[in-house]
Amino acid sequence: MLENSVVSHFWVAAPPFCSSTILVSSTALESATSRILAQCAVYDLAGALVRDFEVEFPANEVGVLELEPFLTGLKTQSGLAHGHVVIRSSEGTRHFCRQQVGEHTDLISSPKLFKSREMAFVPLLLGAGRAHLLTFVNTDSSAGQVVVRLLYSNRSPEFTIDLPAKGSRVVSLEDELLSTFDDHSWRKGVMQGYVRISPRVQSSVLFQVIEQYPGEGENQVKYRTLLSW
Amino acid sequence: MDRVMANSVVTRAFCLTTGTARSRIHFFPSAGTTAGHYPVVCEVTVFGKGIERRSVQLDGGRLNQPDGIRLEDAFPALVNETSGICGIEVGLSSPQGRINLLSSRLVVEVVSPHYTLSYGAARFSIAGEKPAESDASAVEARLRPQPIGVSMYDDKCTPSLVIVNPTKDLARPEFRHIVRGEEAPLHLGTVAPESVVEFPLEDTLTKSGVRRQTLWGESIVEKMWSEASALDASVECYLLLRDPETRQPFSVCAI
Repeated sequence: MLENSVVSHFWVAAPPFCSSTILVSSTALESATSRILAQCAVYDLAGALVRDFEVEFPANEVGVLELEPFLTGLKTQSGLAHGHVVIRSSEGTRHFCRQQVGEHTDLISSPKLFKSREMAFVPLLLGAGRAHLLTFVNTDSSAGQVVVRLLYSNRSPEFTIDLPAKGSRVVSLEDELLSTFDDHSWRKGVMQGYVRISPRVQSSVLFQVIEQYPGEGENQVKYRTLLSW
Repeated sequence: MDRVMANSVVTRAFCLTTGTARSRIHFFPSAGTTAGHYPVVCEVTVFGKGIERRSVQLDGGRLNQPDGIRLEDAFPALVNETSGICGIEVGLSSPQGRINLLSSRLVVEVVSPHYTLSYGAARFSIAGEKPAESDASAVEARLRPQPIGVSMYDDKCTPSLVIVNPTKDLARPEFRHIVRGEEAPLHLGTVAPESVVEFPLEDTLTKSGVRRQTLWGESIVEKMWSEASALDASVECYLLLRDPETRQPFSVCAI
């Protein structure tokens, strides 16, 4: 086990929907031959450990860890195989994730973990053919819950989502949450809204929103990561 | 040790201003686990090369209630005044002295007919004058994390380093990188007072970086870093990724 290590958690999904590469960067060289050890663990959506492995790379390079070969054991939820990866490396390093969702590539810095009753928010536009996938990861070893509140117009419906220990969930905002709410005004036109999430119990949660939006062609849809904290 | 008052916090970011791009900023005043809807005042300032520094104060904000504005609505002259990149400073303050607003968040969104870019700004820090060095808790509360980044060049992205300098002093960003296995300074320029500069990294990467094969094709990935003390705590650094062909921005990462 690495002492004084830096630990990051990233939500990951299997191709073709998503492709993820972890990048490990560090500061000055101790010596030209020094090496950096990174310990990785991949968990499926139910929180079961799928893989754990170690990689070592020269300290004067960025450690590039392509996750695709390690995601083959992920379980599928609504046609999407997803889970999360935990990466641990020595103090003075920093982790990034090059995440490609659809055609959209993003560089994500180590996401913030929101602990019990802390709040995160993401601005989004409702309507006009857009749809949103909310992705949650519970990094805690006990089951947790997260409260999702959508604020738009003068409405603020609230939903509770259960998260398995070390597991992840992908929830469609429009199809799974808003369709159960009695107001459908958001379907007309385009409306600015905010998603506010707050973990319940002693959970430690990371949160990301993926937007599905109409492409140029008929029936074509595109995806992009709207925001990852 | 005296408790550091964090009921007045600030962060800096940037937005891209072209004839067709429009920017919105969204802020979320948060005090960690503190519930309630205490009043919060938001002050938005814009600055940059050729832009007169000006501010607007937005009243009516509440703790735990996200809100946002269109920059062009708050600063109508911005549309005619600039074309390029401009700095944004957002300050949040609460009359409730015991509220710690450091966990607040700011999102910047740039929308054009060709692209949409949204990113989370650097974390908020305590606003106000630089504390005396004898005030250890205040100095510690202002310490920035050491900027460590990666620059990445491939057929899908080309990187830039964006430096936001809200201070009245010239900023000299001192970043370092690796050239042929040895540590070397990354030659950037200076950043004028109250301005924002985008430093493209493509030339540096293609000249000195090592090409490697990845699942998404040939790529150059290089690390860069700065000593935390080498930059004024008010100066913020962002990595901006653009499409190499269209030059449209698609990702921003605070470092």
